[in-house]
Amino acid sequence: MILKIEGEGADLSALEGETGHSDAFVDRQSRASARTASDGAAAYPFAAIVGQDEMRTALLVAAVDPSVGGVLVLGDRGTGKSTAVRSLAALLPPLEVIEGCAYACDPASGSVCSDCAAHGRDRSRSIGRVPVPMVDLPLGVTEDRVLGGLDLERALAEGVKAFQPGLLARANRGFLYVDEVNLLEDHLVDLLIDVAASGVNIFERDGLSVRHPAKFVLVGSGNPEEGELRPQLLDRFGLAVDVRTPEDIALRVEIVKRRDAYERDRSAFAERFADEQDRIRRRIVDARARLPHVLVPDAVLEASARLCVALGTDGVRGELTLMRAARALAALDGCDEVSMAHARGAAPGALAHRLRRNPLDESGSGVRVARMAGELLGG
Amino acid sequence: MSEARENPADGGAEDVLLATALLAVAGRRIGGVVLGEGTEAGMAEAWLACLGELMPEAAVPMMLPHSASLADIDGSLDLAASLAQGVRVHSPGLAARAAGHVVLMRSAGQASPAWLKRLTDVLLPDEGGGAKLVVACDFACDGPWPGAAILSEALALRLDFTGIDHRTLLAPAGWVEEVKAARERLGTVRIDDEAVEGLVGASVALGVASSRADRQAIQLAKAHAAWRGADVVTPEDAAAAVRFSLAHRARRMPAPPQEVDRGPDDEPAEDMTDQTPPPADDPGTKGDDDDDVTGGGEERPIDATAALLPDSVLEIVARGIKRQGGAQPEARRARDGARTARRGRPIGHRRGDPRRDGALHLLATFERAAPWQALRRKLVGGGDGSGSASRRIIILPDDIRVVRCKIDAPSTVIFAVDASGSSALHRMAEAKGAVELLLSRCYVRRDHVAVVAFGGRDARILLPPTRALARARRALAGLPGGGGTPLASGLSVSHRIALGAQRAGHSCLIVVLTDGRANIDIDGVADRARALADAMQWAKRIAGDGIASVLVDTGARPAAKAADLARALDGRYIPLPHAGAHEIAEAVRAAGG
Ligand SMILES: [Zn+2]
Repeated sequence: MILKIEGEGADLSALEGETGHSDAFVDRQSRASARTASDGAAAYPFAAIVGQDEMRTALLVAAVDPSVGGVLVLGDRGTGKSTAVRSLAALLPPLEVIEGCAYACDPASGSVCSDCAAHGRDRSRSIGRVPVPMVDLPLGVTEDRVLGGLDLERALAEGVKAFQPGLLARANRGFLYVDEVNLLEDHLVDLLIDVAASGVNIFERDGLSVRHPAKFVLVGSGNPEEGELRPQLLDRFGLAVDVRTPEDIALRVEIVKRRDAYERDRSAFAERFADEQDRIRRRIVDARARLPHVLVPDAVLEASARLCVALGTDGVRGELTLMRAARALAALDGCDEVSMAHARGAAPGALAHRLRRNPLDESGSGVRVARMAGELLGG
Repeated sequence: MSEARENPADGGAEDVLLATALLAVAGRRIGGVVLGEGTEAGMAEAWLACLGELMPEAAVPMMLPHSASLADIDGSLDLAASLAQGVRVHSPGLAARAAGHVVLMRSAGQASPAWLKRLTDVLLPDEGGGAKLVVACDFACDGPWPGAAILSEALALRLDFTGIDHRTLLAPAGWVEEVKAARERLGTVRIDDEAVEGLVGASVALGVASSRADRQAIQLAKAHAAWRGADVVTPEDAAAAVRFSLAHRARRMPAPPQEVDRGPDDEPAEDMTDQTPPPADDPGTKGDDDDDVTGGGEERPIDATAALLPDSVLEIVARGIKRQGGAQPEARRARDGARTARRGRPIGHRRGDPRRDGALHLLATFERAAPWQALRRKLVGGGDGSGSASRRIIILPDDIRVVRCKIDAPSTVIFAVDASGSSALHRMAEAKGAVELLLSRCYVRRDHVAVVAFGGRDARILLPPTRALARARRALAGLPGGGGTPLASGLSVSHRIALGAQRAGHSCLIVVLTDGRANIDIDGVADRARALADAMQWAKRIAGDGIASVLVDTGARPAAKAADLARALDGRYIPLPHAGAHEIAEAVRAAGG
């Protein structure tokens, strides 16, 4: 066989051989590793995290309403930011998935991958359950590994053209965590944020055309001492919270002790926090069910709009995020209506990073937002 | 038990030896060690030999190659083997290969933060097992390491070899057995709550933010107890742990206890004078975060902690803070320049090895291989047109093309600010306004910024290149004024920073803010003629090295001298009286800043 390839647009179908097909190749291995990554039994219990209330609340809000658009966690190294995300993923109830799908497609959703769309109509596939994925995006990762790409191994070894799902595929319906997002190359950050916003990864490259759902909560962490984050990056995250290592010695000792207990006997440790874990899980599940019915009274809407105007946050995104976060907080509290207090609670995380601040002004914008929110969202 | 071990010397070879023994006892529980000041090749070899003797698994450390790519760290498809065998062959990643080894990272000072972060994540996962012991060093890099903060968070120990004769780095007789015994005892060593609180309190007092550091300090205290042959951690063990694992990580000086204990009644009036200087009066804390200092002031170190922070430890702390102050993580990216060329936006392809040089460019690779397939099939034989081999494409290493990437060159803006008496009298306020405006622009574009101040006898780097612009602002706000105008020194220091940044692949711009009235020469002597000649000479060198510059004349009236200097710099001349802050910023932008 002689292969002729002319330029970039060349048809690679000749490479497929007789096994070639246009369906996405299901890489079960990568699914399996996503499973182990969020293995519930091994993860540190979310309920055992000491302090860091703002971060935990922001993560809970994102878990209840992923449309808040990602969480940026700013703070020192070694404060257990990735542990918190992993813990939350492990706490959440398992996902119902279409068995064998590389993207963990939701059987209840109309938006499925091309593979499931092709099979779905003619025969019903069995439904399985997998833990909520928590995918770590390592620094220095190539675009191929993020987006997916031609399965090189199969292309070279077998001459088969197949799509190898990337990290975006593995993160579908779960969390994608980027540690030290300020060290990640800009174009990758942009790409992640774009896909997170659209919920779909469209891959048109190397003669492959694949479209699969990629709905995930993007959680980025950053260390402000390592250089500032681009403002464009900052305000594309729905929520941003500061996390500090507690300076209270008793709390710090408690962190060390719990960690030690966890390392020594994970199942005993899990047992110790099982009730509290159940309580939080129920709270999230209830809140998710309640969320669509939570009302925002006009007074709260108007006060929130006034707050955004007063703070000078650009565009409607801040206001929208504020309302979504406030609704999620109300749902988490078991309320059917958003109160001023919910909006106040949501304001710093939703707005502080959007202020057109003087980059050299060190007084925290969170303080400004909280103060202003106290004034305008009082009562 | 030897005398030296009972009472470790203040620094020096015995201190290093004790730390080495503790490392051998605690092993990967404490992450590893950074070989700091005074590490030359001979020193590192001697020290490694000593560690290898005390710790058999360290005898043959696994060298982390200079060129290790992220694919090497994570493991990757072995393209050559896969092609040869027709099946997928994976080359294992570093983590897999490092199992049971001590990993030696030789060029840690030149590695980028992102690379080090990935490496420490793989080798020293904060959760779960599988951690290795890492030794990080760099003989070639004497400046601050870009990834210093990442290493110091992950590795408990930092050794200072200053003034040590490497021939004295020999494990004393009997230590091999004692380390072995201590390792066996380690599992049974207990630590009570008071000792844990003391250690964690020391960590908090020193501004150490990482919980991992707390845990490592506890492990190190246990190792010290085991080394003494004890079963329970005593204050002595805790003190050693603080000295070896927390002092070098400190980000602030602990608040002086007397300040916390001060009562309204029992304080005589004359003591008030003692409290007038802020807690940051130690020179080492300058440039450190203000809020850190306040945080420390509110924290009351408990007694157990105070005892763990004797003056000898505070000296280490002060040195460490000073070192970190100069260690801007982003300051040096020498090697990163080459490495990041693999990233960025794809602009084409070139020959290369995908494991090292960038992502495989598939189409280009096939394009190269395609015309040869018929011939190669014949040469390989076997292909009769029916087997699976006939559908396989034969690709030789020569065919392989990798994606070529372009990254936008990062840039560094160096502000050389005249802080002399003559300038301070005139329009420094406007100049600072312009600088702030420029900083805002740098912020948006993620530029690096450095600040050099010259005044009195010489020039000082107020801020080495950094992206933490709030620090630049602080540096400028606290700019002292007065004294002579050592313009040549200011230019010389800026030139040096610019060269360093250029080597790291940055484009550079020096913004000089002065009235041009140089009166101190390069040697710090008050000689107006020499001062001017020296300044002109350095200006020409800056121009000769192709470094862009802008001179903002801060004098009350435009001065011929300043304009001459701008010409020598081959840079733009902007007389301040005719320019508002916005005009200056605009002019600098036009000059390429
Ligand atoms: Zn599917």
